[in-house]
Amino acid sequence: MRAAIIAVSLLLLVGIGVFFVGGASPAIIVAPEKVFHWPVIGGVTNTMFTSWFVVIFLVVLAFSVGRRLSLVPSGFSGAVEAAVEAFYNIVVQVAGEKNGRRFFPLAATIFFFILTSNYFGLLPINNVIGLTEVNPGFADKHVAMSQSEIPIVGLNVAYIPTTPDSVDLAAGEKAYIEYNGEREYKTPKDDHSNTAPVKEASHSHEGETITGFNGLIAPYFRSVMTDVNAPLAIAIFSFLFVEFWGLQTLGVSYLSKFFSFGKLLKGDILGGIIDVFVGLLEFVSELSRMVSFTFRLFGNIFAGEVLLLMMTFLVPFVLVDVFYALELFVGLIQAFVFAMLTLVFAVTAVSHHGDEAH
Amino acid sequence: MKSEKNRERPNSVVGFCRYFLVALTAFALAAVPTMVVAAEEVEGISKLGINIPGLIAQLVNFLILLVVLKIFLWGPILKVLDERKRRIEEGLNRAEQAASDALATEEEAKKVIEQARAEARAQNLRSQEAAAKLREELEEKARQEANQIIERAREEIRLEKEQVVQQLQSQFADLTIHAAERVISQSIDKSAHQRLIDEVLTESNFGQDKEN
Repeated sequence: MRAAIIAVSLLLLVGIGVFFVGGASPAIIVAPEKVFHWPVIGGVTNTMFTSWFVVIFLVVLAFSVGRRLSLVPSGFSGAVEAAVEAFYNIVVQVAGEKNGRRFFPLAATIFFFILTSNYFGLLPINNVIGLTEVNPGFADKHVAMSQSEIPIVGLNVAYIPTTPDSVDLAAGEKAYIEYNGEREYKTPKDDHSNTAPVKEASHSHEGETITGFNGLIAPYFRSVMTDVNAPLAIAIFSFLFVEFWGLQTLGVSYLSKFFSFGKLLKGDILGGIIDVFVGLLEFVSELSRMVSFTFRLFGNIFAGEVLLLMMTFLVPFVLVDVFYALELFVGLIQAFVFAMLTLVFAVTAVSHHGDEAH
Repeated sequence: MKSEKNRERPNSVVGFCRYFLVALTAFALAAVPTMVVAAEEVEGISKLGINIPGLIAQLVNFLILLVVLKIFLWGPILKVLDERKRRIEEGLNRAEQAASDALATEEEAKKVIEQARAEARAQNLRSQEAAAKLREELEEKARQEANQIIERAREEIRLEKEQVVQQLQSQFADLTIHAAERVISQSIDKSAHQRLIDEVLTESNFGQDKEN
């Protein structure tokens, strides 16, 4: 009986969500939007802004937990310590005691930074509050919006009207947004909009009924890893540390993996050419790791964000929670995969090359 | 404690330098796509959002995290883990030692108790024997003493009897003589006769005489 009531009310919630609470139609823009213009730094994108919060969060966590560590674990620091210890045990299992100790700081930083970023990206402040601008795709319409300014933090919070009045523009008229009755004309490409250039005003949208929000929100918060630069930066660090450790452990002989002219100089032409080719392949694969690292993480998290936006748009209640759970899982797995692959690459880099044994 | 701290410092300095070196290389590497983008305005890359300020910002972020977490979180946590592991190992070893010690002690105690019991048993046997012997001796002695006393008493009785008999004999002789004298000296009839004997007997004062 109780199960039936729960099921019915859940279905009712889904129905209410679908039919009465239309979410904002998501506009999928890959590049992070610039939301602030600060002196010296210049344009600040939303992913940068969010990543600072993540960094500050982790730094504060490190300070507060690091100082409270004790032999008898207790409270929050004990929990953090347990998580770190679990990760450390995995690292030691993969890389062994000595190498594990050497690789652990990088692997752990990668894991916990990506994990925190991904989970931060699931907070409901993401992709909701932001600057509004006219959608270039609807440049031939104008959108009446109500916007109120919230003095705290000085952020403009745009409330998305569920039934915006959209009016077809007369030919040659500029697109504008009407805020509380005041018209603000938008040039198609604002200096702070990072969006694609507006096409020539066409009349392709004429006659369509537009439901939902016809402007764009450039959110102040956006999941960090949906910005390609973030995974790329981590991948660069991962790559550099792996090469560094390889050189540190094996010395110059590490480079023989890439430049193996030994057989060629000895006169074995066929084997030598093959070796050189293999070295070249090794070199390329080493570089391509960076690319695969970057796009694996970026792709997963960006796709997750798009999925969440779409599901919020389609089924605002109940069902979307399933996808939030899925994204929790994906965020963890991607963080783990990035850290573990770095670890594995590091282990292969410091282990002796097969040819040396011959 | 102090030496440990001193040893640590150069390590962290070296670590810091290493991070710095790696970071420098990272930034140098970041310059490559910048130039590519700047030179050719690669449509795809900039559409994806790869741009130099963003990349540099993320590199800086990651570097800060790497250094700060290494110094303030990973380092201390690993130290605590090591210390805890060491303590636990120590404790386990000590517990094992204590257990084996206890076992040995118990064994020892058992041995001692067994020994004591055997000794006590022997002692008991010995004392029982001694007691029996003593009793026998005492009994013997007592019997002897009793015999002696009886013997002495008999002797005394015999002597006394002899004495009395002797005394009686001598007194009786006197009395007889005395009575005879009287009888002879007077002619006497039967009644006088009896009177005479009574007189003699009264005069003799048989019992008291001896005591006087």
